[in-house]
Amino acid sequence: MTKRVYETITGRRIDLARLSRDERKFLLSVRKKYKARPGWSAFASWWVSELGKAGLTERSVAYRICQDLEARLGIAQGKVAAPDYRDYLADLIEERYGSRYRFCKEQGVDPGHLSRVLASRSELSLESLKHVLGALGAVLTVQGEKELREQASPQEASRALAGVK
Amino acid sequence: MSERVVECSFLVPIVGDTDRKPHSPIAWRLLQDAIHRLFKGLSGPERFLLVRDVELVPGSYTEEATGNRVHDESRRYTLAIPEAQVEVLRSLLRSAANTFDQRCIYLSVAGAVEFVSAKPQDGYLV
Repeated sequence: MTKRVYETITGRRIDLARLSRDERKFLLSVRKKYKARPGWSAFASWWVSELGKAGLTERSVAYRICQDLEARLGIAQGKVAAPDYRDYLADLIEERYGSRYRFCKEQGVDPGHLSRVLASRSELSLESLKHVLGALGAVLTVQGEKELREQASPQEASRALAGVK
Repeated sequence: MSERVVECSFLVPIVGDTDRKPHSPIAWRLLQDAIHRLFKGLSGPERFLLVRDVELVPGSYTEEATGNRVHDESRRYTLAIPEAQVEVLRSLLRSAANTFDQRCIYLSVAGAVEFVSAKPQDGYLV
């Protein structure tokens, strides 16, 4: 059976069965474009323009899916680094708290330090990482690089996009 | 009277100044989110606010410390925004310079080139 969920490189699951008609139509054109494996930036330019033409905004799940598709192209083409724990943290915070500000306030995390961490300019100590992960209901896992790259590949995204009907 | 719209383009090198490694997916995502958040819906018609172009441009510069010529590749963003919003863009680029580990970011406003540099207190993209 075809997968009806789009999973981002950081594991966020987007239910494709709940897309609006406009989102579905837009994502079908994205799927066609993506099949040709466009250049990272060419694709970025294209989808942002098409999203506007389709009357969709950054609040649409289609926006997040396209950002994810773009990142996968960048990684595969050597222009973007493979995701690390920071990408997972940022996504989990957004998903569970809505904003970094709210997360920091409720969990007593220094927002300046978190910003530096997410910008790869600082690291979280193991103790802080445990605290942050606990607050997010997440655990640290070790994954092989090959498996990580496969998970973040454009091919994997294309398979997930097949669920757009 | 309608507000004057200017074309602005800026370059974000695809590797950091310090480690010369590609940026993480989150850095690009935060930049894209910030552009949408700051320039969409601020002045009405969408035509003012589109990310008109994103492309990779090769380039090179001379490193001050060594005098060596460094070749790099950048992503160019082009936006058409109201003139009154140019300072907002400069502020965004100061945060972007910190997030993308750049000493400065090339910005062209209606053809006039400037380099936007950042201090730690300018913060990061959020």
